[in-house]
Amino acid sequence: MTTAIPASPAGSGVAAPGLATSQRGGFGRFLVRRVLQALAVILVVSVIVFALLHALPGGPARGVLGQQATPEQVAAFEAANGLDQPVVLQYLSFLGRSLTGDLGESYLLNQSVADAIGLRLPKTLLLTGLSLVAAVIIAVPVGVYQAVRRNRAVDYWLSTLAIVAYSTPTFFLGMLLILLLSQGAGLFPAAAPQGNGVLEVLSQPAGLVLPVLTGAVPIVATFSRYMRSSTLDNLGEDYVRTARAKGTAYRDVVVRHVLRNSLTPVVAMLGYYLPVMFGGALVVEQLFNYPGMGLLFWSAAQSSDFPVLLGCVLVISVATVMGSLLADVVQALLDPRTRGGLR
Amino acid sequence: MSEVVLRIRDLNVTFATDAGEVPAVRGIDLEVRRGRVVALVGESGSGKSVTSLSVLGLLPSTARITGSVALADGGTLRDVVTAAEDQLVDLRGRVASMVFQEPMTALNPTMTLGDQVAEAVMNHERVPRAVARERAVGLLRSVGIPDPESRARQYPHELSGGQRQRVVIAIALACEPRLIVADEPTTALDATVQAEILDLLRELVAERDTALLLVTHNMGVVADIADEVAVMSGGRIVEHGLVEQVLLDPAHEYTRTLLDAVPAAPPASAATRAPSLSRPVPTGSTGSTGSINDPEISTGSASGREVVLDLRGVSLDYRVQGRHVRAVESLDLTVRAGEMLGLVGESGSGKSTAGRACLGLLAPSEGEVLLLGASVARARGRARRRLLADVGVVFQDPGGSLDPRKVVGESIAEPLAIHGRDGRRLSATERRARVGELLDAVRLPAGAARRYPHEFSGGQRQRIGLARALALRPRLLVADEPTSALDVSVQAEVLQVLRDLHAELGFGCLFISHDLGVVHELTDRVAVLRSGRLVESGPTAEVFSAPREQYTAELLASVPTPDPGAQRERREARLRLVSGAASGAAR
Repeated sequence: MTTAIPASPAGSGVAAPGLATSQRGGFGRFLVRRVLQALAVILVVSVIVFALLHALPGGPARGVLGQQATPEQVAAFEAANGLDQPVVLQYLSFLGRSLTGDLGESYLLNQSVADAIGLRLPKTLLLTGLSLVAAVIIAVPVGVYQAVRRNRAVDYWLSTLAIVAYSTPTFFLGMLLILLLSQGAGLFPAAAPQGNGVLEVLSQPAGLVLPVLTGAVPIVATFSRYMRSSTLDNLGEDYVRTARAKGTAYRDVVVRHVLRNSLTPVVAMLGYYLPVMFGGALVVEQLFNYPGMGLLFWSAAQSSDFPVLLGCVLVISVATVMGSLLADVVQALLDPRTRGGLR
Repeated sequence: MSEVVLRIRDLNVTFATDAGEVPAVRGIDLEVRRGRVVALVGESGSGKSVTSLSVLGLLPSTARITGSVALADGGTLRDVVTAAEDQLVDLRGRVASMVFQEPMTALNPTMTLGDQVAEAVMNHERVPRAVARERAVGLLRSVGIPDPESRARQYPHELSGGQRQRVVIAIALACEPRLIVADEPTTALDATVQAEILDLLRELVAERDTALLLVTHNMGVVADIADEVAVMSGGRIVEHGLVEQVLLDPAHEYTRTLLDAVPAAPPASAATRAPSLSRPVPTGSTGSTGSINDPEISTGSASGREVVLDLRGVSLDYRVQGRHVRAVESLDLTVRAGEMLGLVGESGSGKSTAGRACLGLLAPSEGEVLLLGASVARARGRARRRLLADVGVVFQDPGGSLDPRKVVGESIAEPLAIHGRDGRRLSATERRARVGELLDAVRLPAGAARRYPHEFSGGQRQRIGLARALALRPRLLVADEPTSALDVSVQAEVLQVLRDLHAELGFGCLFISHDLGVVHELTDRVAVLRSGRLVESGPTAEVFSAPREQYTAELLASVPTPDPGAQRERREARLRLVSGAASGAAR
């Protein structure tokens, strides 16, 4: 991961870009506009992926037929697949095929790209989803606690711990966890559950603990920092003083007033974190031999299985766009100022 | 005498800072009795807000407090200074409550108004949520929120500042405390809204026999509502007495200076009369109903001089999410050389937007802004820069408008470095000499040029801003609320400097302000703006002594004057005006 630990999530970096401008139009208008924006971005992504496909060594024909194919075979393939047509037409047909789920064939897996991804994507979503949930459950209370106890010993210790956890490379962290909790204490197995379906994976929960934990720790480290500074910002707000002045106990002020306001930017941040999570999945799945997208991407990259690689890029890009769309929508829902029109 | 609800004895508050202990309050004694309104007045840093926060034990943990602050709870006096946090939680809201300065931020943006009021009830009474909600609706009604049932389900951002302040007051009233501490409750509000909130507080206090400790810097507010006044300076109470005595016959030197610094409110006679039709309508505009502002209105010495700023049918729009929002509608204004035109209006009236257009920062969507006869919008490149070099500007926030990392001399010299003078560049020595002259003109020592903005007080910074604005000897100065962030005594100082420089240099000045007192003292002519439209304009003395428009009269009557007797008359006049307007509208 390359993102630095941010100083303040409430600052400009976190506020969803579409929000400030959504105030007058009402939530419906905002939603429509935001979805249209997302679709436009996805269209741009498809152009880039299409361009990448054509940038393959020898073009898509050699990509499919392999580097040993004769020029005659290439020409025949190009004629058969419409690759001799104008680029715009080719793009449109690529777009059409992608929309219907036809992403081409894998060189190695003897499987269509769509099938290969379709089988693994749910398992990766499960792994990242569980990591995310675990991370939020831990990070939010830790961040709030640190903010309330700011600049005391416990705050410094937790901050130090977060920075250490954050700077530890994921593969090293995973190995450390295997060493301590699997080989040392013998609590959990070091290998992830195998199997084709999500249910099959879920039936072996013990095997999921270490992969989920490895994925969650860096997110806990990041989001506890976000939560701490967001809570600190809110604790300094005037409405906190108003709440205290009417006789609300400090604890209730934090839980009833500060928590929701601090959570808004942080929860929205989660959506933007989706690509980072996929990056983490790459390492985690490889380390624990978990049969998800990360592992698929890893082995495709190692064996130059370009159709699979590009399929993964397309899916991850779309997931990223959807993640930020989700982030904006969640933030809009949490903040009443973005619901309904301003007077 | 009625019972004591708050007794402060020998209160000392110091703050632990990196620079050591800083005293904020030094040994004050104060008593507030049931049903009395006691005003605590002083300038910034006098310790009045710290005193008010200490009443509810809301000072930050860096504060060291000695002495006693006792609140009457039942028959006993309970000390706040020594109380544990859970005892304070029990006292806050029930025995004493608080209203704050900033209604825009004082409420939780993600909680409904009803819930925020209901929480205050449930903090101290064991009642079901539904009952507390009903009580909340009742409280909202009692502070004059229309349609409280539906308002209770709304969020703070759906209400105006004045309405929000009413909600904050409803929260403060929720448990019928014997004392309400209000820290500058109307400072952030427009004059007309301020008058309404003061009326509300006066009524509520009288009705419920509650005591009010009102912290304010505004002597007019004191005259309007207080029974007693305590004047604070440097952490001490320098004078304490009945309001008539302190305001009309101050015993302490500091109180006298403070009162002298208050700009004289426009004459009370204006407020006591309804909009006047007796004032002769200036010739030339009788026939044309469209243009109230006639450039030919006689303005004494300034008339006939060169027009430096001319706004002709200027409309200004803001683009909000693809939609145009009109901020100013076909505005006509002229400023001549050597003249000061006051542009007054309440927040949102479009006065600052108009100011931006005069600086070429906003292009008019209709009409023309002419600077020295040339259109700003049509000028391009070098011509435009040369045109704008003739306009100086002073902004409201003296701190924010100076670069904190530049020494003051550099900031003042910047326009000189950019524009040069008379079409040629200035050498460093020439610039330094000019900066010296300018600092001298705004009465700052030459050594100030080498210091940073944070080393100066607010008033000094504003004078630095003025020096920078005048660096190029502009023909027009646009001053947007230049003194509204300053204390009255400092404001008086800055205005004096402005007045002297204006007399000496003879620039035209567009003085944008919400403060009618300042405008009354300073300007030759005035233009009143409401919701982007020009309501009325003319010579300041005439407009203020005999307003032709109902709105101007209301605005004038809303400005409180620091004379309790006169203020009572003003208030009654205002109420007559408002009720007259209401019945007029009903008909």
